[in-house]
Amino acid sequence: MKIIQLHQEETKIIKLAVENNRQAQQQIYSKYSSKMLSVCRQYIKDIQLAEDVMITAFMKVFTNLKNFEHKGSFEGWIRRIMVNECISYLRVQKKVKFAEDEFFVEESFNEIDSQFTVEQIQFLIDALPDGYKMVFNLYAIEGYKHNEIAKMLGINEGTSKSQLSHARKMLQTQITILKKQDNGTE
Amino acid sequence: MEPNNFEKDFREKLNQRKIEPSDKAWDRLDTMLSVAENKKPKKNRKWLYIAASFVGFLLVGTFFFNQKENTIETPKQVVVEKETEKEIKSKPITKPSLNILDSAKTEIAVSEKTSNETLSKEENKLNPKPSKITKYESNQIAESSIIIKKNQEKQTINNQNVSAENPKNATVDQLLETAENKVLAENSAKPKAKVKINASDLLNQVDGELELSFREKVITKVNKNYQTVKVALANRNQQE
Repeated sequence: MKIIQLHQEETKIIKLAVENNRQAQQQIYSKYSSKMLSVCRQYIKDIQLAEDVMITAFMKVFTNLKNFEHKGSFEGWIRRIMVNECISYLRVQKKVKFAEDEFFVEESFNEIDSQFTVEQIQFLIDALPDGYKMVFNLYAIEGYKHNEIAKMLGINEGTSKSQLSHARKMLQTQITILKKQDNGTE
Repeated sequence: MEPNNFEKDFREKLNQRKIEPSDKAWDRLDTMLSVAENKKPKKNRKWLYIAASFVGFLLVGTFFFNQKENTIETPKQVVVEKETEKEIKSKPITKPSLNILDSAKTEIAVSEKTSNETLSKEENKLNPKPSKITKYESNQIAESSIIIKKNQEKQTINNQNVSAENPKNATVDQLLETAENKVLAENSAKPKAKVKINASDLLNQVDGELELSFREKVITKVNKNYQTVKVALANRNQQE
């Protein structure tokens, strides 16, 4: 019952926000901004830039709010806009290019059982080149499939796969280094 | 390519993470939103302008369409009218204009003649009578005849001087005569002025009148044709 009530409340607020009710817009913003800044931070290392991207993404959220069909989750819809904005930022501002190699190795890293903090995880992701980072984030964190990622980034599916495999390899080496450091300190 | 364990861990931890944006972030978004809101009415106005211009074009289009219907049938008459116009123009310009000029000239000549005649008559009228007066006066005063002779000379030169100097010696009859002479002189002077204007202005006047009449003709004809077309269209619409 509570969930239904919450949902109804959200649809009300969304309707108000569509009519440019600033209070409703602020409510939506304050509800999701911290989560969405976290999403943007995954892609963009500079927190200030991440915030800029988040603001422009929220602008898109409010201007396209009338197009939101109340089918999927509202948070998921906002999140998708954020991810797309981050990708377009990286592609336009940073001019990220993907090496068109289709070499990838299917390896499993199941034996790696990470016990990292979020800061450590972010540090590892930040260390990745932008191309790897994007594919890794989209695939591993957002849960997109390779054909979807290929469409989003305008690359081949094979390229997406190879980028992911490169990213994973890099992460693996980084993780082992980190673990060694942790073990060393312990 | 199953998600690895560490990737699951990554996802869970990252999805739980929350980073509070700076306080300025909302203010910036707020200003951006208000800017966007201010832009929106302008867009609506643009649409209004487009709609208004569209309506205007429609009006102009319908107006031209109606005009075309009129002009489709008018050209034939316009040609005829042009011919008549040519006839009208050619006639008055070649022959009548000459006639007018001739008549004007003759008028000038005639009027000049008449004016000369009137002038001479005036002089005749003026001259004999003052001389009569002078005769009377010469009988009365010998010296005065000399003055009157001078007056006579002056009179022959200037009529106005006569009228001005006469009162000195004037009787009632003389005053009357001078008054009459003044009137006559004015009357004779006026035709001269009229004639001078007539020569150039008459042509223009005639031309203007011709053009006016031509315009009126065209207007009436266009109106007639428009009416006929209107009636024809109405009939056709009724039949349909």
